[in-house]
Amino acid sequence: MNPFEIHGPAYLLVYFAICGTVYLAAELFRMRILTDTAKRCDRSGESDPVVVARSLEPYEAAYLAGGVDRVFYTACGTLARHNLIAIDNIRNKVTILSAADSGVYNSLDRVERALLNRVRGSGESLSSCKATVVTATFDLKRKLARNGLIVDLNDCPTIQLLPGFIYALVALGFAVPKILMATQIHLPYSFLVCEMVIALVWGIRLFRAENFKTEKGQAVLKALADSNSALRLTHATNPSSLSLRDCALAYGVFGALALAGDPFMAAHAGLRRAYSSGGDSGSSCGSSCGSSCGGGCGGGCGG
Amino acid sequence: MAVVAVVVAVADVVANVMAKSMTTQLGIGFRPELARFIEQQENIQFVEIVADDFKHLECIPQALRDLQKRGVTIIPHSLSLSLGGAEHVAAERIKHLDGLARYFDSPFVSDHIAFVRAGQIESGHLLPVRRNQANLAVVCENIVAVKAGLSVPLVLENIACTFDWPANEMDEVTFISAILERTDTRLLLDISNLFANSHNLNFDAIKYLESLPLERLEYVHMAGGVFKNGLYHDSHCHSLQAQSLQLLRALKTICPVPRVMLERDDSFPSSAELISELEAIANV
Repeated sequence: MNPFEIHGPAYLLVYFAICGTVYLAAELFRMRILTDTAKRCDRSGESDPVVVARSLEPYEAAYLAGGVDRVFYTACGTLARHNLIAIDNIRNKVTILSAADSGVYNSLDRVERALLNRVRGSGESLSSCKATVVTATFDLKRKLARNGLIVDLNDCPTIQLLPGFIYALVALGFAVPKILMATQIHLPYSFLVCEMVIALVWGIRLFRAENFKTEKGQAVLKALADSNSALRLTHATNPSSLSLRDCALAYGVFGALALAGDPFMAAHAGLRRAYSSGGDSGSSCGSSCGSSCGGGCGGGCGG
Repeated sequence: MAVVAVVVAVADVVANVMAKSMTTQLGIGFRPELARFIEQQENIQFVEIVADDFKHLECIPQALRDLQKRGVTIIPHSLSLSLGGAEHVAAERIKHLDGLARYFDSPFVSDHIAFVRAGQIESGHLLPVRRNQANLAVVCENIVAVKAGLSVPLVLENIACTFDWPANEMDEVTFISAILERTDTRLLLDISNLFANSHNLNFDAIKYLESLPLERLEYVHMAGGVFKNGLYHDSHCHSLQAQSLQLLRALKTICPVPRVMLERDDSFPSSAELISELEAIANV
């Protein structure tokens, strides 16, 4: 049966079905080739997620959990928690709060130092701070890719583009000829044009450049969360007691758990306002059990 | 020659076992705020959890299970049995406490010689029992009922208070000793509570220690507090007082202390301060 012989609303439905099916197939194709690429690129020789999780530094864990955004919020949150910077999420600015002495400075992670160096002076906008952090994450990304935890899409653009191109070809191939035919025989085609545009915009997702987390990467992330249960509890209840490293690891793996006044969330809100873009799952990590189970009796109960 | 070698080896083993049995285990009260700190301390041999914080077994955090896997003993400590109350202890409270003990394979559980509710009203505080023969019978009856519902021993703690009932028929140490003897129960001695009471109610803490049946001592609580308006408040959110450490030292000269632990419930200090308090307790 020739689909081009179908007319009117029925063709709109057929077009929707074709695009939906091809999109799913393209996504599966993308996942498959990315997984194969990850396996090919894995040079770690270690398959136990617990062992790999133990070998990761806090900012590597942060990148694995949420990419550049998570790394940036983690650096902001950690430095602000230790009173080294202040985040003004109304003016979208980061300012130095107190100068880090050489001991503290040397103990900082490379990402934190890059951020701190950028802010020196009268302060810096959140977006320009983030740009600095992006540059500082290249090595993190490479190490994670070498361990088979993510696929660095910048290193394999063909893989990134192929499923998207196939989808775009199908979306155009089933719409453009039909639109041309409709113009010749003076039939309405505006709904099909709209549907085609929506399908193409939706298809942009197949070109997305964020780093693909492999199955191994997901297992390592789970191992990180499981092996840091104590850190999670303290992060949610007493974050100011954590060392710089623990603070970064907690933000990296769990995001912000104590929402009110958390600098991680301040950076998130400020940057979102600046970019008007979303995209971090950190804030939803709160435990539903913690509040009723934790705490204790408080002081002065006589026991 | 061989016989001598065997005798020497046996003597070594006995000496080791004895030395081990005399060693005081160090512990701390598990609080979510301290979870990371506790995880990082390799010298912590036991933690005490507030049983009332874990209403369901599903609420037990992985961090506690990880500690247990590491060989750290978990002791459920209840605040709500109200052993000194006129009402019978609710069966579900005993079941809950026993459930935690079974879950963690705990050697015992503990609660206080106090009451926390009366006529359905929760006091939110551990209140002292008026020390007379009638109340002694009530407390003992409650304890026997609780013990019958537990699969592990029950250990009883002395509380801190800033007032005393009028017309008490006996002093605190006599009352506690009678309870322990009558119910064949072991003692959780809160040294800081003892210091608080000796200061607030003006009695000699050393004499108190010497009068206790210390052969029943199972473990010791140490906590910080603060002096306010002439009274000492066992706040659990201030630094450990030197007087409490002196009392612990005095206790150790009288009897071996199997376990001693630090309690901190609020205003959590830096790791360095906590480590120094734990070291101070361990080095007494």
